[in-house]
Amino acid sequence: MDLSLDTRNEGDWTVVAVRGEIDVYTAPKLREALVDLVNAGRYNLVVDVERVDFLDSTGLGVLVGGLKRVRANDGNLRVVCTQERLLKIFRITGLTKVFAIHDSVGSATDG
Amino acid sequence: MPQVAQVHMDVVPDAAHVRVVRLVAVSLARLHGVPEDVVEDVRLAVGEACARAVAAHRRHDVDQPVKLGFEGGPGLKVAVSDGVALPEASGDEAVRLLLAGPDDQSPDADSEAAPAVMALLEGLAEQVSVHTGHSGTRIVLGWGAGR
Repeated sequence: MDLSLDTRNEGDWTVVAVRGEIDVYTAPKLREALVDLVNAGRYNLVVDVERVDFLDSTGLGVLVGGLKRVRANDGNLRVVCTQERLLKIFRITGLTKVFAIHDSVGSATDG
Repeated sequence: MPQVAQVHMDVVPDAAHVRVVRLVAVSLARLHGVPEDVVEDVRLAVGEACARAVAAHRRHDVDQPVKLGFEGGPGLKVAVSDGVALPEASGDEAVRLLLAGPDDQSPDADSEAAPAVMALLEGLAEQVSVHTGHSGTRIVLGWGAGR
């Protein structure tokens, strides 16, 4: 599977650093990881997609699903992304208005 | 640069194969003169269309292959055809039908992505058409060649 996840806690936040391609084949792995974190009581998540090469609507759906789950527990899901080709996808789909998109993990976990 | 050329692929409806289709699309886009700053859009949009077709086959238990037709020179036109029978529709309504489950009571997780799909196709391809029908859904995407 061309997707790897590295999860670590930083204070109240859990950072999920994603590497590889998030598509119809690999997105279930990310969905499962986010569901597991919420089930474990981690409601403040940062998904770092700086090392993601590809993101399709399945991946976006997983992020939106994750956001809904953490918000249901008064949590938040922030995205770290500076890659223009991924930011373009967030813009086209109107998701820049849905997600707080940060330029670094430090900025995402601050406050 | 080659003259008009056609490539046809039959893809087993397995999510793992969508990546292969993306690689072929990128390769053909470059071969037929699609500008380099647009090639990434080709990768995304063709991957998106193929992923939706593969997901529809799996959702409806259709084993037959998803069919792709690439027509290049100059520029690239890509047709993605699946074999899931749906009511006749086009545009946004066609995409809604394509992403729905076998009945309205059983939408799968893909439905979370529904609003994004048409926006992505329209935002990334220079020409887009989506039609559903009794013989399946056909998504056609097109890009011109650079000067």
